[in-house]
Amino acid sequence: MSETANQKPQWAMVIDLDRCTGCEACVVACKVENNIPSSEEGSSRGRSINWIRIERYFEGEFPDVRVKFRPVLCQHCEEAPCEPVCPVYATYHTEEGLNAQVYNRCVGTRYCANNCPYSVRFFNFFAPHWDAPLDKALNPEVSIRTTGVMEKCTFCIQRIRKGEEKARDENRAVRDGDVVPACVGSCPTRAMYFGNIADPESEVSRLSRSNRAERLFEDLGTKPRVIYLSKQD
Amino acid sequence: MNRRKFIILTGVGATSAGVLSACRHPEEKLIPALIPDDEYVPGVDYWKASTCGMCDAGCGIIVRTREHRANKIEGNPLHPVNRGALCARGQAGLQLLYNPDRIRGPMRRTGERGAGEFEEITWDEAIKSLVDKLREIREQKGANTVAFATKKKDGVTGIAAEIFASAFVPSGLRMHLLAEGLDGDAESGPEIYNRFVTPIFDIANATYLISFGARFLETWHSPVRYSLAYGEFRNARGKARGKFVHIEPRMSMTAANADEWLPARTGTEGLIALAMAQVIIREGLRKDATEPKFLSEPLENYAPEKIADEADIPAEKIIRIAHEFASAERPLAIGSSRPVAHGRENMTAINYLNLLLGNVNKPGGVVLPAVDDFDPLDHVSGEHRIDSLQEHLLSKEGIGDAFSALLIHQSNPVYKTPRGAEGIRKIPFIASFSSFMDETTSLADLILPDHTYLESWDISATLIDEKRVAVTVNRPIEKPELNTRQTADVLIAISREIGGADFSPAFESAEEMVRKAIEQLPGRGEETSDSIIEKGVWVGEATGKAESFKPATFQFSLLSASADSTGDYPLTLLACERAAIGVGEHSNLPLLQELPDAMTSVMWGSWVEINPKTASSLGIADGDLVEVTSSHGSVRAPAVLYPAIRPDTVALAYGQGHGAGRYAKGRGANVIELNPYLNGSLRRPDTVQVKVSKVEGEARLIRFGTMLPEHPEVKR
Repeated sequence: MSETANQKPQWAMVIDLDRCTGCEACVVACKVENNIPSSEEGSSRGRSINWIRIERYFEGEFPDVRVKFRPVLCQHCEEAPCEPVCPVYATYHTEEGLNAQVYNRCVGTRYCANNCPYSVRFFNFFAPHWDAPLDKALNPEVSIRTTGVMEKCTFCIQRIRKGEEKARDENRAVRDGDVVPACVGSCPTRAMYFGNIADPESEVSRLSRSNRAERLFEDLGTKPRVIYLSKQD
Repeated sequence: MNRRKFIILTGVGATSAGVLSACRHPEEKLIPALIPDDEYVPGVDYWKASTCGMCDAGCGIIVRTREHRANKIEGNPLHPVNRGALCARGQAGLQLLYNPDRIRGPMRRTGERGAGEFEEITWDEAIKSLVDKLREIREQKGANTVAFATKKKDGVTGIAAEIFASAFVPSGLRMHLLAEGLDGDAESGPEIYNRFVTPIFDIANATYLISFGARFLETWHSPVRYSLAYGEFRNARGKARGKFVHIEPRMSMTAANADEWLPARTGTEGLIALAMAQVIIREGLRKDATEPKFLSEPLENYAPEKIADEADIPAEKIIRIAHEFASAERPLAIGSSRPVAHGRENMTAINYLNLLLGNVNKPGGVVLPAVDDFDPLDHVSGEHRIDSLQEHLLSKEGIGDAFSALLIHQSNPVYKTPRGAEGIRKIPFIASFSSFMDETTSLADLILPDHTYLESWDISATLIDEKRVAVTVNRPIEKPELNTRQTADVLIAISREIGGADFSPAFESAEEMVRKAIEQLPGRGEETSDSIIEKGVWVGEATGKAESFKPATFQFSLLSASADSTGDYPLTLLACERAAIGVGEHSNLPLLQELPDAMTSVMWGSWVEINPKTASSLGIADGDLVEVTSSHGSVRAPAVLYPAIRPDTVALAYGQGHGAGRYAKGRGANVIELNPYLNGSLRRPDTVQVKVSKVEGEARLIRFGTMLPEHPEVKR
């Protein structure tokens, strides 16, 4: 057992842009796992909720057009701009490095979303709704957010808790594979990795030392916990 | 109800009974936690293995259930096809199971045909009605026959259909069995490889991949399987990064991932393949290279310099790529026969490139499995004889006069082959086994709804490499949600009634077929059937026949095969299948309607992709409503200016313009109306010549993210 056993794990994600094809399996996996509603009304007013999205960038003119895809989710910044602006401490940082949102503290000022450079915080402008019996597919471990509340990617906190409990039951530190967020598990090209970056042996630690490693808007000083491996071409 | 009142009500036994009876389905909400059955612990997840039914790739799934309710689908890590991964479509499967538009139980038509008026009946009544009708047809000697049409001929439905047909034999009435998609897969390249087997393309170990329009990351043969391979192709430890070139008139998601995209003129894929071959042979890049025998003219006529104009790709580029391809350590060419009518000819030229470079049955090349096919149900059934549904629908005589009764299962020809719809309306009696009230089912006289794939039994197999096969079991995750029955079981029940006392069906149920097939798996060894069902998959050696055949002399020229792009219809329309909703099978799933299109981010509708230059010459701006007209018909949809499409081409996705389903109805346009042969005929062309013009009217175009207006009602 490494010396990190007594420390809290520090969760981080690595996304390999050379493998990501933009297929959006992660997008649907996230919506199903985290009880995110679909609504044409919300979508048509630019209010659809996507904790993870695929951004696409076009370069050049026909016929020399190039497109790059980038999955964007909450970057779980170590110096998160969304946190200090919350007047009610609904947005805060956990000891495991998660940028957490406490729904029942949130009063809906939306300051956090305004201050987020990554546009990954979503306000519930509409009451979430599922036509019965679609609500039967809801995940019993994730609460449904109400109108007037901010929500965002949690790195699948419910799965993190389960993985940590399993490790504790087996009297060991968490290791790779204990925690697999929904998006990471679904990825058909294996472009996403998740793990404890405080453990130098973990896959995310190894990949974060790659010379392809980059962070989104690194120069803002937000210290994101999502690390991208740049496309090689 | 305030909190105090709630505590009083629920805290006291006598009044809590009142609360229970006030709920519509109290047993669903409260009883499971109070009186748990002994099979599960409340609050604990149970994962059950089965097979994904959202397309035909056969990925293994595991379904998370709690309190006997499925709440998440993931990939089965034990399954060699998808190794735990699952695509967007597969993830959305629960919205099929819990869809509010599912048919709740058997129904009989009460109003006029097509008026949508039905009454609910019991299963006994439904089966009796169908049996009476079939007996009545049988009595009328010399009358027309009965047809049973289904989506795919394999699996338990195919065997049950066969049992059903054999029940008619003593009466002399011939039962017609029809299935979709009996196209004979030109992509397998039987003319080149001398085998009737779908090859496995070892993309993972290739170092140079050329795709001639094969959208292998989205649809094609098996999107998750080939996405996993693509991940390894890009970077696996100890392997150099592979180079990927994609040829397609419109940049698809797959094309967007290529290192080089060549927007060749539609249908010229075969020309480019032959031009590459010509370079390889003339410059002696491969020893012992032989000229192709399938050409009716010398290969010299396909030199890059001669076909460059036709393909609209500079000759130098073709020559460079031919050099790169020939000098690569492990080159691989793949293709799609879909876009044009001469798809088979194109595929022959593309597959010939693999033969030329000698990469057949080598790592990173084309792997031809040792057996032609492996069907676990082969051991429990006889020979199927099933004809093509599309061929019947599109035949000159039409389907209407051919049959006295049509029994239709998991197929929606009124939407998918609208040209055949008139014929279907003329059939005197229609029984539908659909789980949903779709366009075809709304014309039915009798509805006997099937389970969804998450409630059914079935078994299938996928060849995973040269020698091995993955046998996947499909089993019910939980009890059926509604009053539906698996169609295979219903067919067996009807056979027994029709066949009379002397007839004994070979199987009692779909479950029995699956269990027998598992018991008879060759080389199963010590593993019990239950353990295979629990894991959802069995991997073993494939057994069966492998026949090579001498192809009939097949000679052609590709020099005059391209589309005519002059006259009244100057633009080529490319109909594309979106990975999410396919050819409209999954348009009624809100999760997939809201999934932004990979390239344009459009959701909840249709759109026409136009090159900005073409749009400006036609006076069309982004978001304008346009009308696309072919010689067969016209559709309307908003225009999206898309920089990555040829100026002589426009694109429109399949899957919208439905007349049924609360999330699908009246949304977008059905591209099939522009060409009745789209997606339907034997050669499956995805193209038709059209013209596009701006029209007055409101265009409903929803895109994700690109603009987030604070006040959408204010025009900018």
